[in-house]
Amino acid sequence: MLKKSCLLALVAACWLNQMTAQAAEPDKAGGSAPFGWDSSLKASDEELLLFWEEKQLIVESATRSDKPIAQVAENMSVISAKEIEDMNAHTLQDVLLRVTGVYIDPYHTDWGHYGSAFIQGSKITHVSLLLDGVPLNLLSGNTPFLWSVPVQIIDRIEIIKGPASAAWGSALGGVVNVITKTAAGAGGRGMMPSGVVSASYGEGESTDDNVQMNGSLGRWGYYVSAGRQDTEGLADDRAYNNNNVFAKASLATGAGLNLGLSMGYTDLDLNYGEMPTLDMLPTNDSRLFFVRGSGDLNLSQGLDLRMQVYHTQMNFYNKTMVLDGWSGYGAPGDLISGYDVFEKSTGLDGRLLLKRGVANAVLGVEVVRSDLDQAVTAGEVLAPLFPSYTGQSDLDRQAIYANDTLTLGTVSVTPGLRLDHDDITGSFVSPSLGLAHTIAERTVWRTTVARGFTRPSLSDLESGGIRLQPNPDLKPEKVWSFQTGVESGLPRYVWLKAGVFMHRQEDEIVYYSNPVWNIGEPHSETLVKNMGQVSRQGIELEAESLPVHNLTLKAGYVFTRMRTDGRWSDADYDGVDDTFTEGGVFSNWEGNFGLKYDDRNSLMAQLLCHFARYDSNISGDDQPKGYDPSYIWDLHVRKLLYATERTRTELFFSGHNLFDGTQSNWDVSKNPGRWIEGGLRFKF
Amino acid sequence: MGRHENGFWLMKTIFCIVVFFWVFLLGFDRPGYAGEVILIGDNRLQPVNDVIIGVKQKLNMPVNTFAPSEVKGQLASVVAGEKARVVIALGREAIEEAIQLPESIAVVFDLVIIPPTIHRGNTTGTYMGTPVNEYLRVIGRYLPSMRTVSVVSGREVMKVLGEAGSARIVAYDAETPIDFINKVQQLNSSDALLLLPDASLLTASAIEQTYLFSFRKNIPLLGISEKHVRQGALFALVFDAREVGRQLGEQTANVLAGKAVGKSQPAPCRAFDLYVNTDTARRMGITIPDEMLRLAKMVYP
Repeated sequence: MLKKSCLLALVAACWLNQMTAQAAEPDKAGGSAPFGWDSSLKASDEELLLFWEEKQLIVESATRSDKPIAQVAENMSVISAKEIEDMNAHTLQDVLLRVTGVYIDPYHTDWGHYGSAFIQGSKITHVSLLLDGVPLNLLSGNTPFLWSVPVQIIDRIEIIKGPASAAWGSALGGVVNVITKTAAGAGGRGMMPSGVVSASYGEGESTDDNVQMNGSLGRWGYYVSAGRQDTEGLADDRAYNNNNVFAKASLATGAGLNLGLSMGYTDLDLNYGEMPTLDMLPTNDSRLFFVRGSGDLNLSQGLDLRMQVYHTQMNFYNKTMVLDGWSGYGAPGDLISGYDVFEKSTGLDGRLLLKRGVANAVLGVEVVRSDLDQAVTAGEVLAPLFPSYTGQSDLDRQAIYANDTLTLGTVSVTPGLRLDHDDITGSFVSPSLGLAHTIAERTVWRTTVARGFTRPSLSDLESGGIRLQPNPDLKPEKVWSFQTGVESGLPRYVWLKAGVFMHRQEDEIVYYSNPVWNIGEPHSETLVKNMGQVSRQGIELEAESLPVHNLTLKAGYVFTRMRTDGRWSDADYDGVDDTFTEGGVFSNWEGNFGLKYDDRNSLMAQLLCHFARYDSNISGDDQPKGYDPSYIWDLHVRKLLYATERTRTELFFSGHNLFDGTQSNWDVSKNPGRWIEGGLRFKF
Repeated sequence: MGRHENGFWLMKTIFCIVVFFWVFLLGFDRPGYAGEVILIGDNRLQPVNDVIIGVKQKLNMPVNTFAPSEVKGQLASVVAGEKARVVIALGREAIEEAIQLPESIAVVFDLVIIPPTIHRGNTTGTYMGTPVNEYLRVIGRYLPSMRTVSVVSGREVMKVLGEAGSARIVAYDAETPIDFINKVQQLNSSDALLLLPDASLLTASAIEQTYLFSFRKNIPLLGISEKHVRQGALFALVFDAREVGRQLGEQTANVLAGKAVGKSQPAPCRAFDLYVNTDTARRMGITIPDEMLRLAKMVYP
């Protein structure tokens, strides 16, 4: 079905290409010029981009308003589409793995894995994933739906490390804001269409095929992408299939109003791989559909209104089947348990952006309505222990927020405040204060103090889960955070960034379960409570050299020390918290190292290494996990085969995990060993 | 189940947020005195901020700053309200607004690549583009072996930045990015290719093709910006935004002191930063004199 869709998309793209090739000649910008203005002159931002990189001009995620990265007080990383292409990333997780301070859980790592992201030692539920500002965290478990975002549609990723609640609400650990490629040519400049066709093949019969096209039709600009990824699995038969389409259109009406519409669909099936020691074969079937409309209107002098309305539907179905049949769960292929979640959200957010004098201010409101349907199905053998059930919940959320970036010479001060309210957990106020100071040329010192929170998941609050008893009295996890750091390009041959962070979390959500349960024994349920405090402190270091003999060196390192306070709990389920568990101290460190060769002629090669040692209870339970540090080396090579004035044909090759490293914290799900792939990319 | 909300507390918090928003805006609004000089520029952009810093360093007086969107269609009343005598306009949008003011108000502009054709008195300014003769001066002094320098550009940009009659320059006219790439790829006998900042031609693809041409044909690229040198251009002469600001500040001070602007010709920045890539020089067998390296603001690698 999807092959037909891709073919249709390709035919449509060719038809559009033909149409636009016959379109009007490129506009010489704007009709008659007032007072003798030369028609060949272009908009200021385009001219400035000849001299500066885009991120030096503007980023948007820190305060939901446009400003240069030198004015951003938060600890922010920006990854461009070019960097994503150079690392031959197949998934968003592949990209985030290379970001200092972001850790990707190697659980179920494989080609197309669905590992989750942690920022500065946070939990996965603390990280908020956004796609053009549309939230993509599963409400049932607060998990960011990372694997639903096709990497080819990404223009850049803006990552805020540390609490971002003053701008984005429930985001105690940070924000990953994926900004998609623009529909170029909006505004009637009659651009010739451009695009990319790429295909790759590798071990495990892994394929990654994608078609993209970008152009304009009159005042409309468009961007479309269709892709398919497929593999039989690189280890333990962890098969994976991902089909996705994405379309975006924009219209500059010429009356101070810009409109946009985008929609996307991702259909993903994956097999977690055989687990013979547990006699299990878990699988997952996920789907994401979203549609987003946006409007950007200049109201009056210095006042702009930006609005977006969106609707998302996320379906997540986990099914676990019997593998061999030795455990007594049933015959091979029998269902052990199934967990089916369907969520939909409809949201509206609008913000006023006001520029007056030195102030660049934002006042925004958000309203979101979400519904969750979930069904837990027990197989025949487990049914007596926990009967199948269905649950529904819904959540209404509102928020109002404001912040201002006050630029006073070389200093930018950014106070922010946000009030979030939902009909289950109530209200939370998130203040923040940031300062960015350009203390010397190419050197910026940043400091932030912020309060943040993460809302409990709907499963924890109302609908429950597999043997999970919901707790409607759960409170949001909260944090006070302080970060400070310096970023400098002043040293002659290298760019350096160093920072420290301190996060003090309260009301940590902790799960208590009976650790031993077997068929025939009375079962116990998993309880969830707020308890205890967690401190996370650490240091981040990054460096990147200038090209020397076409070679660039890049390195990043994060050390995090986590301390959990001792806590009282109700271990014997008698309703009294009379069992004291000592707290613990855990240390994690992880980082990246890269060496890149680019002769600017036809050859680019990158050797990347990811290393990690994670010594903490990152899954949320009390069991510390540790394993010897390991290093995963990848090599990516790209060779330009042929180039004309309009086209480029490239051959690329990747060798993953070159030295068969191990980096998994769970014995039943190790990362794949060495594997290779290659492909062709045609740009026009 | 759930929590009962204190409605009054909620409304109080919302009220605080809105008040907070306006307090910070009003509290940091421009000072309550009229300014003789107002500046129109989008200070969300770092280069604009750098120019503003340079202006304030030179002027030593308050300068009220407005975004172009803030004053669109209303600049005349803003100027009247501020009792401004000079408007500094940064960028195309700002200039479009400023040149509609009565000629009694002096307009000083920058942050455009080449100056617009303005039929308005009492207007002057500077522009970002580096004239070709600045490159020829560097080449003549430090790289005399570069006898032929090709330039491929649109007519408008070439007219302003080009050096007429120089024996070293071989100029080619291009109208579209494809035309630009075609012309570049036909250059075989040049000693260097000089890029001019023509945004209509220098698309990302065109620049990429130009680098490819440069490295394959061993013809060094003379770039527009520091980022081009970092990416492999041999050297670039680039305006310094703060120096531009100081230059605008001086022009503004002259106006305030009674000097007539008249129809002064807009001028390029009077000082440029030199960026050099010695790795490119080594690969192409070009010797960069030590004196040139000492002059450079930044030498890559």
